[in-house]
Amino acid sequence: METFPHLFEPIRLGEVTVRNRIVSTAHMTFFVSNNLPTDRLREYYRARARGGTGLIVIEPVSVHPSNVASGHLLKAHDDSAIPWLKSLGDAIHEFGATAMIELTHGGANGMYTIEAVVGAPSAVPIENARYMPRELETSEIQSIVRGFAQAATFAKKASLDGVILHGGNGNLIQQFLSPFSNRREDIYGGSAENRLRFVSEVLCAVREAVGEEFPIGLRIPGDEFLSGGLTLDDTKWIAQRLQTGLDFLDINCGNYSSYVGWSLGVAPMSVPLGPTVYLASAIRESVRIPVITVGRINDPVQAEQIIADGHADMVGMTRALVCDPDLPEKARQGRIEEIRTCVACCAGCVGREERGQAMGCIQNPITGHEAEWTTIQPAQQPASVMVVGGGPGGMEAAWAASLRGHKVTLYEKADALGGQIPIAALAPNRDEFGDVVRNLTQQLKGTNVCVRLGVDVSSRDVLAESPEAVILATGSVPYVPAVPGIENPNVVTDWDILTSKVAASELCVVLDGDASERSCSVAEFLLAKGKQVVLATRAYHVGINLNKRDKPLTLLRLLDRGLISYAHTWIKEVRPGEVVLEDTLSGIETVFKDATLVLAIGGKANDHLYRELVALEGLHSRILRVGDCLAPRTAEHAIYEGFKAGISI
Amino acid sequence: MPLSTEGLDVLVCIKQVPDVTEMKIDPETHTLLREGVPSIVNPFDEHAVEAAVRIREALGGKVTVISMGPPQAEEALRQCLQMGADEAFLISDRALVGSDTIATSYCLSRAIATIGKCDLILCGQQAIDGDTAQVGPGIAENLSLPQVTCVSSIEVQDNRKKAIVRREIEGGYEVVECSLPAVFTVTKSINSPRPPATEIRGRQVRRLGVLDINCDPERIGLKGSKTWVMDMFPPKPNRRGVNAIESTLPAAERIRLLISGGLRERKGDILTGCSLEQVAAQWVNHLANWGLSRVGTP
Repeated sequence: METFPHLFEPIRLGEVTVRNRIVSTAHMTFFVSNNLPTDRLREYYRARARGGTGLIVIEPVSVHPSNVASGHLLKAHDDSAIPWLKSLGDAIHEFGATAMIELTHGGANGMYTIEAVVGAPSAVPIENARYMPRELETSEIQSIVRGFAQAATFAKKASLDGVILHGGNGNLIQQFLSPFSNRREDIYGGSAENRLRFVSEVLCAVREAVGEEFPIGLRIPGDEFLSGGLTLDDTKWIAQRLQTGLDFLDINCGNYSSYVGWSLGVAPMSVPLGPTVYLASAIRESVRIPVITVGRINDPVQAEQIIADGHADMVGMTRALVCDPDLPEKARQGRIEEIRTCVACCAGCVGREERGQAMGCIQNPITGHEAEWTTIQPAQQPASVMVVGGGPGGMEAAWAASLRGHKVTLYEKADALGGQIPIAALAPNRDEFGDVVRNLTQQLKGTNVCVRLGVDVSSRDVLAESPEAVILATGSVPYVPAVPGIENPNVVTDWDILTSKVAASELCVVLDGDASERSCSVAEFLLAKGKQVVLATRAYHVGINLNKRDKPLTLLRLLDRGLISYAHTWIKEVRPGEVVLEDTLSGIETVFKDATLVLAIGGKANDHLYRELVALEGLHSRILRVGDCLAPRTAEHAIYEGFKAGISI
Repeated sequence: MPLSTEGLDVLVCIKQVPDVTEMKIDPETHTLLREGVPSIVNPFDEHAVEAAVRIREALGGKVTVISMGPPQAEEALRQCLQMGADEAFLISDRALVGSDTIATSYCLSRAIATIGKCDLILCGQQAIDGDTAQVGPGIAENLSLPQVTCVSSIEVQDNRKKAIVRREIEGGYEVVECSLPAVFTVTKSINSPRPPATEIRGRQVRRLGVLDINCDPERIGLKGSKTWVMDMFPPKPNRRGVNAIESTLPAAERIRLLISGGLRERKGDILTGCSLEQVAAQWVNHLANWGLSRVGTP
């Protein structure tokens, strides 16, 4: 049995002993309403504690009213925070995890509204908003320092086990530390010593408020990855200077002053695993206190290796735990193949938050719905369920229906399960996405679901089976627009290209539909093969719908390889060997000679079985549709709908 | 030895192997700790036996299984008889100790030539202890027979003179027509092997030594081996360090190194040709240019 002796060795942070080295670092969830936690947040943390995480850091809590924030940020500006802080701590303590909280002030990272002007060390805008903050006055700075100390006392009174000062993710503390964002000419700016002053004052005030034993940690980026910003040499010095007042460090990376810095802070799939372990490692060499490393640490084997090799004392596995809160317990029991691994798609977690929605996980519909769905009650009467389509929607639906105790058969017409995911995983930097199929397959292993491959189910077959319910997850096929000349041989689909079914000409015009991964993936694939690629999109720019972590890195890779992009453009017509685009704003046409048109527009629902079934006389089965065959979207929707359909029977 | 006059005579080469999932490597001596580890028929070979038995069930004929190994390998051959094989031979001899795949292929091909003409030779794609996948092809070369590896389905044509097989390749499969007799190595997806449930009823495993099969002593055992296992150890991930990025580099450079994992694109040569022989010839030339081989003499 695989064991992880380093990962499960307890560790002392200040006066507190944490049961193992696994950390869920602070992250906003949007399970917060009007700046207060909801039951959803409590249950989310409870599930991670029950799953065995050692240290759970409650999401950032604002310490001062000058922090202009949305209703999604917890606020601890007065002692009315104590009861709800305690309720969060209790949920975490119930299952033996350590509960700490991250204290924050966003500074220039605040919300830009008509009501308030955001304050920062200097009038330097952040990339994300590009509006101008105002320079904080000395008196305000000192008031904010007191705010940190006050919030720390609330945390202690609420029986939490410690606090982490948020000096990362481009927030106020980092803005003071960084020469890029701090251009002050008073005692708080200029030299490294001066830029250190703000966080030193915060640390002193907090330490005085909570006493010597209460654990205080500091999160800082090991490298801002920003021209003119903090590098590892700077942060090593900062760590050494502050270590006497601190109990531990949490080293991440990035900044919010640049697009790329933003993405590296929650590194997506295209970034290698554990990319910033070296930062924590270098800092650990220069300090005496424990160091947490975080970023693309997906599984216990990797985590064990990091600690065994001495690069860090604890590992942040935040997204891994979003995806599978039971990862620690499974690792402890040696059941590692049962772990549902995060693929860093960023679509369900930070991606949903970017769209103003509560966090989730594309692979785990239960994330955010722990109260309703952690335990699925078996149905009163087990029923027969047919699931047609072995893509992510069908696989998840079959699993979910089996949780209800039903007799489930999953049919797939191809030789293997996976649907469109294996095709998507063929694109460069998307290989890891294929793990979603591996995880879904593993999930089915523990069930009685009967999987029938190579079976193309017809409406007659359904009538003959007459199941209690049939869940259709028949997916989609590439959408082909009705445009003059579309039947010409120089028109292919993105699936044709990725599966190497066709050879494309030297010049390829990729036609995008939803401004997201689909077109960028096939464009990157073609560029890697040495083709000249034009990516034409109807949107204002290419990749506009990529989540914020993917977007800058994907665009960077495409531009590096010489991608030519045409925005607000659509296909006008195709002639033999020629592709004609039209600008949707100006009407100007562009003709590409000797070009292949690659359609990467999206899907067209493969729903002929559904239409036959609803028209079928004598069929009494309940008919449900999930995923693309209902409306072509993404794997995220397919899995979520599959789960809901499965448990609804 | 009498052969059947109709149907297909299929010969299957099997190997008894330790169950590697149960096995550990001694950290001191770097050898396999075989104590208490059960011995099994190489899983790939079970699929080969099953394929042979199914051919006999469809077309008639005979299934012979052979193995080169120590005396205890008889147990594995008995299991194949219980799966339905008609005859079994164990080639066991002290002179064979230390044989690598070249020596083993030679020995087995000598055994096959002695046993008698057969229409089809099946092997598992690879043995789970050595994992070389070389013996099947080695037998084919020794007997000057055509070979198809990674076979996932076999369809013997009516005239019994050729077979159409499916061959697994990355991302798909090939359909190959091959004349018989031939050697096929099979993958696990070819079938589901039946449990060894048939009574043996008088069929015995017959023993053959190197003299029985007329082996050249220079080509067997340690003497006949061109390769030796020098060391064996479980994979140890690099414990030393972690790739660090120089902090004095400009930010844009640090970012590129971070997201590329330090990988850099390099120029390479693509070998193209109309046949395997053409491509192989180019590859041998490359090796010679790099000083790694002598071109010309085999």
